Amino acid sequence: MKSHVVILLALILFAGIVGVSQTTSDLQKKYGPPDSEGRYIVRPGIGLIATVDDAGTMRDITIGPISSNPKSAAQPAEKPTVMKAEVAETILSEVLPVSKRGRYKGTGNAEFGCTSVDHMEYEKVVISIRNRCAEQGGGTYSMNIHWKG
Amino acid sequence: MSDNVNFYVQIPTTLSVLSLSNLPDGTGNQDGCPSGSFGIKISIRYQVKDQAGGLIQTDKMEPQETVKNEVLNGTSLGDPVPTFTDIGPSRITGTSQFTDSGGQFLDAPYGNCQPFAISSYTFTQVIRVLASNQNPYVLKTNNVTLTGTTGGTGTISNGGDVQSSRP
Repeated sequence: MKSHVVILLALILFAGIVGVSQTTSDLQKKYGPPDSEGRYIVRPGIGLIATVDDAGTMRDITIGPISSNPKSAAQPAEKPTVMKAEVAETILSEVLPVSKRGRYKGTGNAEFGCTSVDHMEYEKVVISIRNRCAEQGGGTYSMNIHWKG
Repeated sequence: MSDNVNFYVQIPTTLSVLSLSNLPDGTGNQDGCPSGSFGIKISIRYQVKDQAGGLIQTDKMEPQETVKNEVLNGTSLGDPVPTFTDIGPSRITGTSQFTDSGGQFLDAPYGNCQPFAISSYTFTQVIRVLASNQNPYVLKTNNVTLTGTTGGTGTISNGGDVQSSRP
């Protein structure tokens, strides 16, 4: 009986450790395999790019609209595209639920004209959300999750 | 007798800082940093000049920017504005999509406020204008360092014509 309890506790602990780290296989389970550009398609027209280090540990996730034109072909007057803010928020919670971010430390805000960036700092990650101001139509350009350490 | 006529074509070449001011503390639509927070947000008025340093007085130029290499307290956060994007209009009154008739424009809000100390916040901003023919002209690069070591204070500098401190 005692050994069963020990095994159960070990399994719970293991599940907890696995639960806190995002992996590319987690992303594949949720969104299917990446496309030819290495992006996971999280919604129609919205891609996710994951960056892992040499040890396979997740370092960054960037989520944003998939541009209709590659950078090299973009015209000078072409405006960047955005996601609806509420869609972006839903995707963020889906990719990294609040429970997996560690203790919340605070939110700062950088602004560059019409572009603002909310920096949400947690114990394990910094989440940066790039928004377009309401005066130019609003919306979210992209979101980045950066794992610390 | 010659039929030749010489035209002087003004090419947008540089930007000069006309004025700079701190946005007031608060959380309103025209404010900068919340009271007690760390950092600074400012407003910069620029003048577009030509290849000879003369003013280009037209309201047909569209100021745009990229902001890259954002690093906050040693953590690299990527490129906040990776592709050229209109600087205005923004939430700050007086900003606009195009220059005014004097070839001036306001870049605001500009800076960073955090709930914790900022030992160093750096980024690189490139400003260009789109002329009426849609040709882009890169005018200025700002390599900016911002700090805010105690609550309610902040400094911002590009090492040259953009310098301010809060309070």
